Amino acid sequence: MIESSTVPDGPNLAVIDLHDSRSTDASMVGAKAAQLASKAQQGFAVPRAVIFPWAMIGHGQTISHWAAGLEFLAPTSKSVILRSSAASEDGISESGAGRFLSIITEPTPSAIHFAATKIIEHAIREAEHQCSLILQEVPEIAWGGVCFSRHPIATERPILVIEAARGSAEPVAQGTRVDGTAIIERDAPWEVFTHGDPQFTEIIARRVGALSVALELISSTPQDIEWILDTNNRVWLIQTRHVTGLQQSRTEPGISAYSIPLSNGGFDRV
Amino acid sequence: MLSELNSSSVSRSDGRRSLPRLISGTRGEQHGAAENEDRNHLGGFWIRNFHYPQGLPHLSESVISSIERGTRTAAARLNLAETRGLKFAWLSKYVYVAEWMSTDLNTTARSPELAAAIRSFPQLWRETQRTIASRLPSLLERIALVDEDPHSLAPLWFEARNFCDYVWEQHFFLMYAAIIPWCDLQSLQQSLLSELATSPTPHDQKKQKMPHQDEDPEPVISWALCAAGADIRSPLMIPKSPPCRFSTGVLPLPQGLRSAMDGYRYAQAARAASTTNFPLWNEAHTQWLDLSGAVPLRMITERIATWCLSKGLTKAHDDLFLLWPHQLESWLVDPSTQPFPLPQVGLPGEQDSNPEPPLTLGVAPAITNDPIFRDIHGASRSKARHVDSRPAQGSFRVWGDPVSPGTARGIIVEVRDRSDLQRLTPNSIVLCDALLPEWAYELGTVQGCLARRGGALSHSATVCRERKVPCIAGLGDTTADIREGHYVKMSGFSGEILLFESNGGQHD
Repeated sequence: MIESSTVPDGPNLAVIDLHDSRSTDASMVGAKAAQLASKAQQGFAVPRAVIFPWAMIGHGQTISHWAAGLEFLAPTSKSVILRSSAASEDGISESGAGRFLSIITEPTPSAIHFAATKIIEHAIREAEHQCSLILQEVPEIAWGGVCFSRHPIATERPILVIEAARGSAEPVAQGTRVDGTAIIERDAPWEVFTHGDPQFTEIIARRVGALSVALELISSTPQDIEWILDTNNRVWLIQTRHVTGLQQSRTEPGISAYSIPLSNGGFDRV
Repeated sequence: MLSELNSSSVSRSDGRRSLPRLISGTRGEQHGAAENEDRNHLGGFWIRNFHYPQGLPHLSESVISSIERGTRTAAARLNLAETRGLKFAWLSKYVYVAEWMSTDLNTTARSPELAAAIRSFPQLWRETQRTIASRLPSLLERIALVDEDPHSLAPLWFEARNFCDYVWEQHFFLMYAAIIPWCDLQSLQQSLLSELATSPTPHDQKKQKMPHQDEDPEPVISWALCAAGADIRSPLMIPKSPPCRFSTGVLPLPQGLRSAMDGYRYAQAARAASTTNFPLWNEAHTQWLDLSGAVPLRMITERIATWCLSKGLTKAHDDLFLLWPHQLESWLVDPSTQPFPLPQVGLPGEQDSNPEPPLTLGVAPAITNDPIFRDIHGASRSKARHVDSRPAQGSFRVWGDPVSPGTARGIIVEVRDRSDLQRLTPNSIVLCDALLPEWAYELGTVQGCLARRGGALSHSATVCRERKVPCIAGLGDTTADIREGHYVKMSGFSGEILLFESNGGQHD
């Protein structure tokens, strides 16, 4: 397992609980884990998790290392997710979205060992050697998805946008499936427009939207959140980071950009 | 009663529904003497500034200033309740409102006067709960309903509690507790009494964990949440709360006492100026819920009140009701106590001669009629996403969802797997099934991206925006006619693509 001589702050650092004050130190656990811990400590509903800080992760990690974290977490769910939290992720201007792996697996030491090894190796291939890992419970998911507290395209309008998929947030994040979409005009009173699967209701959209706005207010910047709605009708925050890429976009001369709204397409102006 | 209410909902010419109209006609036609008496009995269940035993004006300037500072900080974190506030105002027909304030340890230490007020609050609140509960039977026939399942909103309000907890830990805050009985006041009463009689309050439990705080307003929050939690089955639900058919909410007061005072003055003025009854709000028209402290609620109050005034719909001296803390106890003992008089002051917003009625009285328009949705995501995707007639020989248009803004031109390169990424050049526009995250960094080097699936919130779309690569997704089957080598102009602002089957250089 871990040799205490390699541990900067004693053996307890091998695994950090999400509610531990050290877990909000991005220099120790990465911005993603730090953000998540900070939100959990602020009272947001975040599934229980532990963090393996990168100082404790290297080559040749044994199963017992992950078993310690698993024992600490003592998950009650049928599956857990192992996420990366790398030094180069979730920055102000670069999110590193999708660059590193997240793997859902069984809550067994061997399965976690396998997943962790895969994530770390992948991170090393991406030239990232400071990659903490978040081991997190996965509630039974009814809906999952991504919500931007500001629309990434229609930035001039107070609109938040939600994309949802049944059963997992992954298809939305991966860009492979979107079952429901909601647009919320944030000018009070909120106007909610849902599209797609009718089971993705306005109520769900409002709850997710409220969560994202709350996070935006706390962070003072638009937030890109990953959320899930569990089968007990509870909304969980899985991940939050700044909405990036809101700066001026690249345009080609001779092609009209014709900004939104574009109801008639405006294509004739091209 | 519910069906009667629903059937009497007023349809407006703009397609929005008004609140259900409980009783049509004049007051005299609808209510007998006994009902009027009962109405008087009910008058004043709007409780405002409840927790200030000495009354707000008696607080020193320094205390108020301290409150405002803390409140501003907390307010920034609590604005999420705006939506809930609006919804709340929309739904509330009979609302018991208690407003209370509290403070963290530091503020308490700085403001002994305030701390004393806070210490006296839980007990006062508990007594008030009992008093309210004892009066509930007389309300059984006075239930006002709206045509929406209140339980569907309970989770929204409940969610706020999590948030409030955080604020409570760290900041002074000022908020409303709104207890909204809907359908079954008998259950409400039973639940309430049962809760009060048998359960140790969360406050008592928490007190042991927070020895540094003599008192806190947790009972109010928890008591309110007991009700809300009963139906939404949240892990935060207080286990001992019995099932009951009503919902509660906890709403913050975003801009603190200044707003409250403004609202108070407004309420005074509006009440003084009111002339007729409110046909849309309740059958008695004897109370106007003054939610003036919470900005969203105040906004609603103002807009509705101003609108009603402009339409000549308000009347009489009791359309607005205000109760100060020092009046509360006597009023609870004797409901005939008049919580007035209110001085005459100028009416804010008089220059707005024809304000619109509050939007919250309506329902959301159909998706297909909404320009926002139509414009950004396409209300009917099947309609929006199609191949247009060819604008010129050898060219055609395709629409998709814009996911990364910007415009671009280039040559189509179809990417099916990672090996195809090697064929990309700086002039390429990638066409793929989905923008897989593992391609994201290679895609950052091309002119633009087109994807059959996915949306604006995917990882790859995010990376495209970061790299300023225009991207359009959700093209679906419309890409069937697009071939590798086609010359493309695309707009990541609108989601429109103009394709040329021959070399694009001739089309510039």
